[in-house]
Amino acid sequence: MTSLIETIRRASKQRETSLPLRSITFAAQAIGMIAVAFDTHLWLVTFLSLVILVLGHLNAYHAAKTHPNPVIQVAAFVMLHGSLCWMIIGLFTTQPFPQAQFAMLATAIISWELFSRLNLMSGLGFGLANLYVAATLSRDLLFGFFLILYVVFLLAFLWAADSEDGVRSNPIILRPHGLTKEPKGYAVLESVRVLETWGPRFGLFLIVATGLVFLITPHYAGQPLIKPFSFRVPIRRPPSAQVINPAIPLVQVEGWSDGQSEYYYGFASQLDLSYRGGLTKEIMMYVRSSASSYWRSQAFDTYDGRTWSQSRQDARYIPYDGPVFHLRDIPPNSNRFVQTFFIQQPLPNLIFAGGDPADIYITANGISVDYTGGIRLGEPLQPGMIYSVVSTPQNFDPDMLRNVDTAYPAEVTNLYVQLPPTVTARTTRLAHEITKNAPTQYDKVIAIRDYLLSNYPYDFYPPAQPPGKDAVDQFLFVDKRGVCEHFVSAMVVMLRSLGIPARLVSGFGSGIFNQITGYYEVHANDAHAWTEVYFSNVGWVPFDPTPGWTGNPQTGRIQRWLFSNAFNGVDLSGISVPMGDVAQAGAVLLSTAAMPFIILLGIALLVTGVWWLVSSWRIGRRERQSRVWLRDPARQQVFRLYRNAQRALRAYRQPEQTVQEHAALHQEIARLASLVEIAAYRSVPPTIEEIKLGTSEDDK
Amino acid sequence: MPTKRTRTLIIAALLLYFFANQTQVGWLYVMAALMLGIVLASWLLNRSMLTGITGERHLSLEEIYEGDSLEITLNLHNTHQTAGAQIRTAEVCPLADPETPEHQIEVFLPILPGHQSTSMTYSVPAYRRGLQSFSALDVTTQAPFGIFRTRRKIEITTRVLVYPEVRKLNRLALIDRQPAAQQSRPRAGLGSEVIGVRPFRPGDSPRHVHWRSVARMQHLMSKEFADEAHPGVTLVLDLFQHPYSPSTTKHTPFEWSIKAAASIAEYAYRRGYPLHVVADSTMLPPPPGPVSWSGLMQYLGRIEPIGTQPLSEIIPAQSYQTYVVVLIPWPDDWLIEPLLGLKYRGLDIEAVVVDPASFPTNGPSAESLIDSLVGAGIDGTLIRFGKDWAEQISGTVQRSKIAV
Repeated sequence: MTSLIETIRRASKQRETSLPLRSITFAAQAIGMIAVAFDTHLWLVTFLSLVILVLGHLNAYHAAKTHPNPVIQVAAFVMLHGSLCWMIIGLFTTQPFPQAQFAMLATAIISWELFSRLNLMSGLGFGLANLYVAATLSRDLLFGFFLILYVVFLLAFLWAADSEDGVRSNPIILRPHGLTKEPKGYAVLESVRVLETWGPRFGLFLIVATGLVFLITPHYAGQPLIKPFSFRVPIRRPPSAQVINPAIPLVQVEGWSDGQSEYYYGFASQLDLSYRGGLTKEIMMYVRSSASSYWRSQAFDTYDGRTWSQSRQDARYIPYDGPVFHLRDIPPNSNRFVQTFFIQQPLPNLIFAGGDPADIYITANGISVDYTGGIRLGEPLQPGMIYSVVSTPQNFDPDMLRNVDTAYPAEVTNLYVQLPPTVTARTTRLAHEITKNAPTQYDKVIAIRDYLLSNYPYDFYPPAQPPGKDAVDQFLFVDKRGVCEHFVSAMVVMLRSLGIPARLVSGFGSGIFNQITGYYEVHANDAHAWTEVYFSNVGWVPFDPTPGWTGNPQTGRIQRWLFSNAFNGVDLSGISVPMGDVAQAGAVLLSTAAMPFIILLGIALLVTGVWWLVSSWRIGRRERQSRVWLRDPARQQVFRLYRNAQRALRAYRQPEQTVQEHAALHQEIARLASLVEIAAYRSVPPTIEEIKLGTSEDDK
Repeated sequence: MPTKRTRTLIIAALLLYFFANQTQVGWLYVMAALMLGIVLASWLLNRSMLTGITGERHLSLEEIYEGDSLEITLNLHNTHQTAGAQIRTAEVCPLADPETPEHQIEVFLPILPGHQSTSMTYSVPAYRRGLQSFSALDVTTQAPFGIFRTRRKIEITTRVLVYPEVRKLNRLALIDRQPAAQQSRPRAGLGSEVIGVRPFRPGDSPRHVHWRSVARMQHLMSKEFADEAHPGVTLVLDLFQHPYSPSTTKHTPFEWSIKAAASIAEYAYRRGYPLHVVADSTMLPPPPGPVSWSGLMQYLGRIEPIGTQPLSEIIPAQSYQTYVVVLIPWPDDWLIEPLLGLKYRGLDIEAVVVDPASFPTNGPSAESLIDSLVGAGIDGTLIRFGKDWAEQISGTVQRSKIAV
C-alpha cells in the first residue's frame, strides 16, 4: 500500500507541461458541462464554471512549470467545499438540479490543481462524471453528439500522451522517407495521416463493437438504490372532481376539434363520440418504466348513445403524509414495476399510470381516487413536473379467465351493464351472432374484439356523426370505420348487451420506446381509449379492439436488449425454460449479489482513503523532518563551502555523481567532500573542529 | 497484451453498466457499451499494427577488423496499406561495447504509413572479434491509444565476422635474425621436412629417390623436402578450455593471444613467409596450410577457447614449418617438453606467453613458465596487460638465453 501511495505521489509530482494535453483535457471537461447545460438550462452556472475552468487550466499550466501557489490551493479547497454546501442547500430548497450544479462547479474548481499527467487524466474522469449527469437528464438523441465529442477528445488525449512519451523517452525519432527535415506542423500532418488510414477502420470497428455490446448486454431494472422521486413545485390545490384539461380550446365546435392539437377529448369529464380531429406528434411526456404498459388515466361507465360520462362524482381523498401516496397494499412476493413520468407539455390534472398503481410519489397536498381508479390532482400537470408510480403488473392467464364465474357483484352490474335505449336491436343481434360459438365469457370478449379488429378499418376522419343516431350503431352498420373511441364503444356496448360488465378507459398508449435513451416517448397522438372487462374474482382486464394497437394491453416486457424475449421456451427434459428469463434472472442475481459487494467496496474505499491520508501525512512528516534536519546551521555552512568550492574550481557535481565520485576527479576538494558527507548523512551535525579540519587554505 | 488503460476502461464500463441498471437510463448503457467498444476496437487494430513491418540491415564494410568503425543502416519497411504508429524498438548492436550507448539504441517511430519506409544509420566501432549475430528486432507498439500492447520479433538475419585486431609489428626477432628467404632451389635434399614427391631432376641425390612412386609411375620420382632457403611460419594456437574467468570484454588473455597471432601473421605475410596453423581441430579445424590471409582471418575470427585437447598433446603430432610461433594464453608447464621436442627437431621456436595475472580478469602468473622456457633455450616474449602488446612483441625486451 505504501509503495502504491509512493507511486501515485511520484506520478503526481511529475509536472505535465504539454499544452496539447491540457487543451484536450479542457475541451473534454467543457463538453461535459455544456451537455449538462443543454438539459438543465443552467446557462449561468455553466458559463461561470467555464470561466473558472479556463482560468484554472491557465493557472495550473503556469504552476506546472514553476510552483503551485499555496494561496490558490487554499482558495480552491474552500471553494470546493463551498460549492458542496451550495448543493446541500439546494437539495432542500427549490434550486434547480443542485447535483448538476455541484458537478460542474467541482470540475471547474479542481482544474486549478491539475498539475501532473495523472491529474489531467482525473480531469477527464470529471468530464465523464458531468456526462453521466447529462445522460441521466437527457431525453433525446442530442446527448449523443456530446458523447461522441467527449470520446474523440478522450482518444486524442491518449494518443497525444503516448506520442509525447515516445518522443521524450527515446533518443532517436525516425520519420518516413521523404521527410528529411521536420516541417512545421509535422505533428498535425502525422495526425492527419493517422486519421486517413485508421479513422474509418477504427470508427467502423467502434460502431460495430459498441452496437453489439449494447444489444447483447442485459438491460435489467435491478434493485434500484434510489427510490422513486418527484420534483418541482408542489401542487397545493386539493384534488378537483372535474377534469381540468389545459388543452381544451376556448371555442369548442361541436363535432369538431382542432385539426392538429394536443387536446384529446378523452381527457375530460365527458367523452363525446361526435368529435373528430387529429393530434400532433408533440411529445407530451417521457416515461421511464421497467415494463411496457398503457398509461391509464380514467374510465367512463355511462353511455347515452353519443357521450360517455361518469355516473358518480365521489372520490376517495388521500392527503399528503410523507413522500408517498399509498393507494393500496401490494401483496408480498408480488412483482412490481416503477414508472417515472417526465411531463413535457401541459396535461390534465390526471395521474397517468401503468398496471395497477399502488404508490404514487408526487409533490401535491393531496390526491383523489375515483370509483373507476382514476387519480386526480388539484391542478393540471405542468411541463417539468416529475412523478413516479409503483404498480403491480397486469398479466392475466387466458385459461384462468375462461374458468371464472359469471356471477357479478351488484355494484358492478349496476354501473357497467347499463345501456341506453338508443342501442339498436341489430347491435345486440350482432353481438349474439359473433359470440354464438364462444363457450365462456373470455371467449366472447375475444370474439367481439377480433371481429372489430378484422372487419373495421381505422380512420382519423370518419364521417360526421348525424344527430339523434346512436354512435355505435352508426359505426357498426353505416360508417363502418372510425377512431379508437368508436371501436371501444362498440365493444363495450356489445359486451353489455350480452350482460358482461365493460367500460371505456382513456389514457395514453405506451408510446415509442427509445432504445438508446431508455424512455418511452409519449406523443399527443398516442392518446387512446381501450376497453376494460370485469371478470369475477379477477377484476378489470384490459382489451384493445382498435386496429394498429396491441390487442392485449397488459403489462409486458420491454425489448431492451437483443435477447430480452429470445428463447422463451427451451425444453430441457420436459421442463420449459425461458432463456430470456434465465438471462434476466442472472442479471437479478448479479444485481442483488452485487449489493453487498458494492457496500463492501464503499467501505474499502473509505478505509483506503483514510489509510492514504494517514500514510501521506506520515511520509510528509518524514520529509518535513528531513528538511528541518538539513536546516542546521553547521550543515548549511558546509554545503555553502562546497558550493563555493565547486564555483571556484568551475567543476560542478553532476546529478548522477556522488560527492566522492566528484572528489575523485578533483582532488583539491577531497577533504571537503568527506565533510559534506558528514553534514548530509550523519545524525550529529559536524563540529567546528571538523569543519576547520575539513577546510584548508587550498579549499578556501 | 492489455495495459492499465484496459483495466480502467473496463472498470468504467462496469460502473456505468451498474448505474445504468439502477437508473434505467439508456444513455448509460450506451456509454458503458462505448467504453467496451473502444477496448474491443483498439484490440482489433492493435493486433494488425505491426504485421506489415519488415526490415533489413546494411553494413558499410565487407571486412571488419576489431576496432574498425563502421556504419550500420537499419531499414524498416511497411509492406501493408495500414500505417503503423508509435512503434518502439531497440537496435541491439552486438558489435558495440556492451558498456556504451551504441550497444542498445532506443528508437521511436511516430508513424510509418503504408508502403513507406524509414531508416537509421549509426556508427559503431567493432569492439570485439568473433562471429556476431544481431538478435531479432523486437518491436512493440501500444497504438492506438495505449490500450493494448503488441510485440513482434522481426528477424533480420545479420551475421558479422569481426577479424581480430592487427597491429603492425616493427620487428619479429624470430624471423628477423634469420637470413631472408632466397629463391627456391631445384635440388631436393635440403631441409628436414618431406613435403611430397616430384619427378627426378639431374642433381638430385639418389638416396632420396622414392622407389614406391617409381614403381607406380614407371619413372624416377624424388622426395621433395622443405627448402630451408624458403621457410614458412607455423602459428601454434592454444584453444584448450583453460579456467578463464568469464568476461565479455576484449581484454582477456586468450583474446590478446589471438591479436598477437594475427599481428605476427601479418608481419610474416609482409615478409613473404607462407603461414601454417596448428591448433586443436576438434571444434574448428584450422585451414590447411599455407593459409591465405582471408582464410587465416576467418579462422582467427571464429575460434574460441573451447578445445578439449591440451596444447601439450597436440604439438608433438603435427608437422611444422621452419619458424614456429607458439601463442600461450594460459601458463601450462606441460608445454615445456613438447616445445623442447620441436627445438630438437631443428625448428626455430618463439613462445609468446600472455600473463593472465596482469589482466583484470585475473589468473595465474606466467613468469615462471617464461623463465622455464628461456632456461630451456626457447626464446620467449611475455605480454602483460596495460601495455601495447605489439610493442611488447616487437620490442627489445625479449627473453632469450644468452649463450655462454
